Formats: sequence, C-alpha cells, structure tokens
Amino acid sequence: MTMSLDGTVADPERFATVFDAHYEEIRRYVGRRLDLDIAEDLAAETFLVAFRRRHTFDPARGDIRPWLYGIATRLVGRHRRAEVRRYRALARSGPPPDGDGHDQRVVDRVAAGVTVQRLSAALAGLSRGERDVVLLVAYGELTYDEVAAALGIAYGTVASRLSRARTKLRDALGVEL
Amino acid sequence: MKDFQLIDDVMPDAPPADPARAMAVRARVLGGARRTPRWSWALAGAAVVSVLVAGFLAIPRLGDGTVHTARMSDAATVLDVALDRLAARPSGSGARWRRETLEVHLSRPKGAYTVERRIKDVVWRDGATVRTERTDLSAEPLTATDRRAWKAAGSPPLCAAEDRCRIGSARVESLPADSVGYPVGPAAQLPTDAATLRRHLLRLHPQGAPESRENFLWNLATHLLKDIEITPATRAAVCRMLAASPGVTVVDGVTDVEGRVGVALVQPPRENDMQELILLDRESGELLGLQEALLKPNPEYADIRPGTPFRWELIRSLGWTDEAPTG
Repeated sequence: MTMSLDGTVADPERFATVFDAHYEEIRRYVGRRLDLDIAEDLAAETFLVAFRRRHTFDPARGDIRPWLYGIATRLVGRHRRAEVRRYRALARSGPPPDGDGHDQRVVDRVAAGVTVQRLSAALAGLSRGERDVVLLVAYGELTYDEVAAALGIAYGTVASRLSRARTKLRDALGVEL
Repeated sequence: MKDFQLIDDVMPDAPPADPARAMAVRARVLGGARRTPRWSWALAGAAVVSVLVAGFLAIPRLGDGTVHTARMSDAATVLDVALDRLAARPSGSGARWRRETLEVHLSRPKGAYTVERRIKDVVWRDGATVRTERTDLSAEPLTATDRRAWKAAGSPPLCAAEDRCRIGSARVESLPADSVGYPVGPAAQLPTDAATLRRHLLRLHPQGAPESRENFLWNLATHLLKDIEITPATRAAVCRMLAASPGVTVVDGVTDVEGRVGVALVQPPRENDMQELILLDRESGELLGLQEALLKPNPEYADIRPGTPFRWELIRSLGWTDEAPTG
C-alpha cells in the first residue's frame, strides 16, 4: 500500500494515519521473523522510533514503507540469535499444527520437496545481511531500490547480497527461487 | 511470480493481531504522538510538592519534552508488587556476569544543533577481573534541521575534542575486580533488607566528603544496580532503600527514549541542577535503564538543553551467562 504522506509523518497529530496504514504489515513482517511475543513489542517499537525520528523522514527520498521496514529490520537485527534459533527449531519440528500456509501453493511446494523445515534450515544458513534483503523482498515486497533505501546500503550491495543468498538457497534446496 | 515467492508461500505466517492488543499498541504509540501541554522538566520538578498533594505528578515524556500525568497513589503499589516479584527470582547461574547497555547522549554544541551519540557499553565480571568494552556506534545530527545547522556551521567534528569517537571500534579494558568501584564486600552477601542495606552502605561514606550522604547513596545504588552481580533480592532492597530515601519520588508510567514504559525512582534535584531517574519494569522490577536531565539553564553545561533528558542508559541484558568475551 502506497500513500502520499507529505507532511503526515512529521505532523504528530497525523501520525495516526501512518500507524493505521502500516502497523499490521510491519507486525506481520516482524512476526514472520521472530516469535510473536517479541514481534509484538518490536512492531510497536518500530512506530515509537519512527515517531521520534519523524523529522528525519524525507518524502523526497522515497515512500514511507521502506523507511518503516528499515527501522523494523534494524530492531529485528538486535534479536538475530533468536531469529536463527527460531529457524533451527522450525527446521527440527516444522510449523505449528494450526499454523497458516497450508493452501494449494504450499502443497505444491511441499510436493516439490521444499518444506518449512528445509527452508528454515536454509534461511538459518544465510548471513544476517543476506537474510535482511531476502526477507524484505519476500515478505515486504520491496523493490531492490526500496531495500537499499530501507537498509541505507547501495543498490549494488543489495544485488550482490541477493545473488549470494540465491546461490546458497539453491544449493540447500535444490530448486531455483 | 515475484522474487522469492517460495519463501512467502511456504514459511508460516504470523497470526492476525488480536484487536484488543492492537488497540493497546495504538494507544501506546499514539500516546507519544499526541500533543500535550509542554511543561519543562524544570517546571515539573519545581511543581512536585504542590502537585503531589493533588495526587498526580507531571513528568516529561522522554524524547520530545512533552508530559503526561501519573497517579502517585498507584505508583508505590506498582513498585512494591514489582519488587516483590524481583526479590523472589532465583539468582541465575553462569561462569560470568554480563551487562550490556546502549547509551544515548544528546548535546548541543554552541546551542546551534543537537547531536545524538550512541555507545554500546558492556561489562563482564568473573570474580577476579572486570572487563569493560565501550564501542561508539554512531554520532549524528538528531534531525534533518540539526543536520542543516551542522553543515551551516562548517560540519565540525560531531564528538567533543576531549572524547573523540571511534565508530565501531571497541575500547577494551580489564582491571582487577577489587580495584574497581566501591568496596561493598561480596556481592552475593549484601543485605536483602532495605534498612540494613542502607546502614551497610552508609558506612562507606567518607567522613568529611563533599558529597552529601544521600547523593553518595544514590550513586552507589545505581552502581550496584548496573555494574555489580548482586542477587535479585538485593536489587529489590536497593530500590526499596532509594524509594524510602529523603526527596526520592516514585512515578509510574515514565517512558524512555525508545518508548518503553516503566515505574521510576526519581532523584531529588542535585546541587548542579541535574536530576537522574532509575526506570524499572512495571511487572518484573528489572532495571530498564537510567536517564538524566538538566533542570534549568546552567552556564557550566552550556551544551545541554535544559528541561528535557539528555542522557539515557538503556539496559539490553544483565545477568549470569556462560558466554565469554571475545577479542
């Protein structure tokens, strides 16, 4: 979802618009990377940090979404060990029995041999920087430009991290992503 | 198909937000965004006596200088219950005791722009030595306006000349444990009763010291909470001791620079117009951090903006571990 937020971010009274438009997707993004109890807190913290730093948001340099995803990703980075532990746990036991993600597409993928267990193990094998760019693309649906803006890194760095990650994932899973 | 669609398809999704919880988060976040009357920290400090009579204390909402009110009658109860929980916790175990803090400092060189400096501070204690690792993480103009003012001033170094930043490079120091800090005795054997602890610690106050007994006790207490491997029961006693100290107030609902809400022990204003507070988790009584404000303009602290906090120490982790320092 893209919004025109010129002036909205910097205006405390109108910051509610930013929260309402993006809280759920940021919470979902963090909640797919960390356990929910941590994720709920980090999603809230993302918006508290965004509010405090609202004057540093420059709409001329990009949309609000990459900016929020960037803050959330940096907060997730403080829990990288917990994230890797979570992937390793998923790699051992798979998703919770009533977890989401059992639609036909998943059935197809599982039939192709790409299970939650194998994918979790593969994600645990990525470096933090590689995982950040991959998951911003996969979960946040950010473009490479937006990933670069979110993480404050060069476009070329995004591309090279994605390339390395793609190779590692292909080697681990035996399929192209 | 989009890039990495497979990951999106296969990996478990987060369950939808519980509406009640989402509303609570919204209120918490936007509570910081809503404009409330701007009272300065100094005004809040000066108003403490009269406001307390009414049962409310005005305190600054940290970070943007706005304030909200907290019911004092509840604050002491919140603290008491949290400290009961803390005192009942086991001590934990491990080969070393480790504390990690993120420090955030705001300064205004020549009053022209605000610089935010972030420092990671880690302490390891293994009984014999105290190892400290201090790493500058960043030093930046706080806002886009500050950045413009900094550039207009000729982009001078963002760290003070006497304390140059070395971003990303840890300064490591190891010293014998008995040469660092106050000689309080074995940490595990410190009293767990507030009154006994106060008597024990005041024995260390040097006769004729320029520092008042209460200031000395506050500083020693923050040192114990932050830097020493004292037991949870002693941690609770330190907090109860401070809560009962002359001039110290207990305030619930204080928010730190990252939006964490806690119950605070607020130091009475010091002679140099500084005031520190200790922020504790409302549920567990664990230390969330410390923060400090200059209450009114003081020419000795010309680079500090008065009336709003300028220094935070945010506890990231604290306790026993089997991890070992590297490098």
